[in-house]
Amino acid sequence: MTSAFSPARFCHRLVVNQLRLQRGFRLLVDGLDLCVEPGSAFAIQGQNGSGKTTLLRALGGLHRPAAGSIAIEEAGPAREETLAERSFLGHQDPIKSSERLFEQLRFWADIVGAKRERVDEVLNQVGLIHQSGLPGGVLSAGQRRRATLARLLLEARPIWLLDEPAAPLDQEGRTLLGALLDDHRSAGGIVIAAVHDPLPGRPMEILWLGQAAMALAS
Amino acid sequence: MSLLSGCLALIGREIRLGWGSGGGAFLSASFFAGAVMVAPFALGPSPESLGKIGPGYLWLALTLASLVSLERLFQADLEDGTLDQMLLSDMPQSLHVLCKIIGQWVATALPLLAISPIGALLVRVEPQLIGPLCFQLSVGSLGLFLIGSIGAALGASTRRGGLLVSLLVLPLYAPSVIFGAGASSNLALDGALWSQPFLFLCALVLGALALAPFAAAAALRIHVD
Repeated sequence: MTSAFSPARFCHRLVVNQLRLQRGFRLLVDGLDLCVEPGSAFAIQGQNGSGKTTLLRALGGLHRPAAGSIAIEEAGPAREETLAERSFLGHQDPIKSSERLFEQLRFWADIVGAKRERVDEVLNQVGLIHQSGLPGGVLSAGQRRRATLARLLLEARPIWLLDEPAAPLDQEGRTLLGALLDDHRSAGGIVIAAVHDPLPGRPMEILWLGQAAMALAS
Repeated sequence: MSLLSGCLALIGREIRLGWGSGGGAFLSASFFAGAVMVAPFALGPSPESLGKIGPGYLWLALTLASLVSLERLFQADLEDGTLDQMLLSDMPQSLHVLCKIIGQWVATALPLLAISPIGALLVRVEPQLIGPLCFQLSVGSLGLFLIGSIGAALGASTRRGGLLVSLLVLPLYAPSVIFGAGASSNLALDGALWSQPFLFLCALVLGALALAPFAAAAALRIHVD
């Protein structure tokens, strides 16, 4: 294991100021203020079409907000040098069907600047070490999601943005996800997840979306 | 250093995926071979007629063959979310696009160029001209791929957008084809490899190398929202 239990691996804070998000003429989010401290987690909840995914994509810098700002501040001296700060897990798992699993993770390791030796380690962590030689096309939805989680571990970035991360996972996979989330938070990482059911692991604060009116409850 | 290893990983992956099952990298080469094969039937096999238009016909075949794989250049990455991940990485988007184009060129154009000497023989190009002609074709193909990537990026989110991409790209191909075919006819006339049209073609390719990745990256950004 790397320094998963050292207290201050990440010291990033996510600050959202008066955010407004639109899809076409539909106003999804208006006047959202949010400050996510290191080690804390938010679960975004709301009906279908209430803008959970759009909010996550905006937080990841993939969707341009109509107004407001999203900033990432360093709350203290971070121990690990990371340029990219955000990991994003979307609806689709970026798995190529003709490429073998360990090749795909090696590719991502090269892209994010992680060591190739860590590929086996993270595959072991998510329980896919025996499937590492299989092409992506034969993996089940749950296995693909686990492979995506392995990529998140490789990236080792402070802010995790997860869109329905538990949806295809089995019971064991959910337990694993909970453990990964808890580890990430104890290392000072931030988790923001769009969910319908509560995620396993330590309880999260809940952010309700809907009718462009926010109600913040914890 | 990690940027370089990232680039090499991208190029390597593009080749691996192209040559792997369902990658379709050999489709362009097959199309090229097919197009050249029917030339003697359509244009008559006599050396006087075919030999005269042979080099130009190879350019035509190359241009159309390079359109075959263009549609999928960015579409698969956009659909499965790979593009999102690349946007979140430290690598500049234009560099990512450039690496993808180079990878695609190696995977798709190299097999095509490897069979182009045989194609040249089939359309009755003089044997001593085949080497220089294929060199000109390979330089031109890189330019075609670079310019085509802009259209591929623009049409990436369109389902069955192959025809749309072709419509976007073909007018942009015109200068490369004009100078390329001009270079080849100069070659056939007096055997000069570094003729003026060929130098223009080289300049065009270098210009595309510098500008097309930025244009394609900007076009791709439109689809990610």
